[in-house]
Amino acid sequence: MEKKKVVKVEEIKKAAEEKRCPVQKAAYYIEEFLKGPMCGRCFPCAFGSYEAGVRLRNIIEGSGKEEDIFALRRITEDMIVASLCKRGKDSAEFVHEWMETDAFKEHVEGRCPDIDCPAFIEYIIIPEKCTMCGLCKEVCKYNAVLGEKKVKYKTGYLPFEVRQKRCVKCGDCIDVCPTGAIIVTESRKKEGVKV
Amino acid sequence: MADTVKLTIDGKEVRARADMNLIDAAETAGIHIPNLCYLKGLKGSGACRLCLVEIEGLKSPMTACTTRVKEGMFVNTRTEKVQEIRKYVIDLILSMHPLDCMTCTKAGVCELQKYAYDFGIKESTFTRKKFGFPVDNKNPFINRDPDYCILCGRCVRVCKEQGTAVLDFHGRGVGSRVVTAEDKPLQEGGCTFCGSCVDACPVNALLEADRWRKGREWEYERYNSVCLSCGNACDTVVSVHDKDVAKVNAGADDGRARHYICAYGRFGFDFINADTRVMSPLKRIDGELKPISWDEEANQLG
Repeated sequence: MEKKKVVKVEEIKKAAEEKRCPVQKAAYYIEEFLKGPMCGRCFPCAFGSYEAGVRLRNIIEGSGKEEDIFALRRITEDMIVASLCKRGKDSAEFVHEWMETDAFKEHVEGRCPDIDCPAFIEYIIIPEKCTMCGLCKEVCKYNAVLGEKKVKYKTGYLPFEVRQKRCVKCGDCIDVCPTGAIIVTESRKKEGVKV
Repeated sequence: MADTVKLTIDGKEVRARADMNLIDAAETAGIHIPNLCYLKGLKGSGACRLCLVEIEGLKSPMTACTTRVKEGMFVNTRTEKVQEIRKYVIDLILSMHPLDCMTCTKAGVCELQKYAYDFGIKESTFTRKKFGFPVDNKNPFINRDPDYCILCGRCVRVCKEQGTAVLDFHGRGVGSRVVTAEDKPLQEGGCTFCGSCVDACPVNALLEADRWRKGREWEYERYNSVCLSCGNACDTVVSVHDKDVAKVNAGADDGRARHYICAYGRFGFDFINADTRVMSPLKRIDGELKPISWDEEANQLG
């Protein structure tokens, strides 16, 4: 039987640090922690980190509430005290550290200050920069780009637009745009996206 | 006799045997330290973290089930810090529990129910988790309902300790459950149906199969008795409901045998109400056995 390589907590931490948004960091960490190093030998860590994962997902998806932050704080604080081993305590500390920032509160209010969480961002095309080359339209798998490809010597074209309802925020269009006309901004809706 | 040590638990001076752990030592002084995974007679595993106590001189709380008593120890079992941890753990467990206390057969003796009551937790503040695991009720003795399971591991350890080792965990953390090898039903998994796990289970996850709506725990009258199915004569506790035997539990006072009686002793009480049981003297009249009264029998023999 092939033995699975055990991912170390430090490696997950390092990978999590690469994310920009603190909530994303915490969520990624907990998700990977549950997949890999979590041993499940004591209740506070095994059940607590799962619950923390649920709450973090809520916040990322934009359906977070004030009580989610309260629950997270309680989970992490109790985990630091009660976990059986250092791994559980470290994990709780990692999440707890990032909870010190205002980012969690801002997410509940419907903003992602680092413009990282898909639920709180929008892709838009700047009309002045758009040359209507149609590359983004071709590459978009979800048919989210609206507009007509420009044919030479004709006028009356409108710049391209991103249909927000269809956009899944994959980022493919940004990669192909030759003029850098597509940018990511904070979502204009103030309340979170309903799930 | 082992040496005794003196220690203080919650301001009470306690004398305890040197090889005792803190839960047992506290129990002798009448102080109950909450626990879900500890089972008297077995080694503590420190999984549930409910028995965390604060010991003076140590920074972090220690689990009472894995800590031995020491001379001059100063233990606090009811500080705010550990009570909060207990509440938190019970809260987490309740978020995965069916909360079926109205019709639950174990109501009254369920330890989760007891602690939820003690800590005043009406319902979980955490996200409700539902699993819908299949129930193993294909055998006439033991019902296994993983939905109720709180993963304390008592059944697993008691089964391993006595050498049967039928049960074990599958998976880890939330969503794991106790299974037999290859997740077969008990009768195919090598189970001897001694029922030790049923005694060990703090909740309704393991239950005698025929007890659905056969009286609640607090209606039972309990009698200390002895099983006479074989020469071992194990101590038992017989619970009687409405003049019918509802269940038989192991009843020895101390030691590992406390948790062990065999399948005959635990489940073999159906004969009491069996049709074939001979209740009065029989007399052969014209080649057929006919019941006669005791007076008649005494006259005939005399």
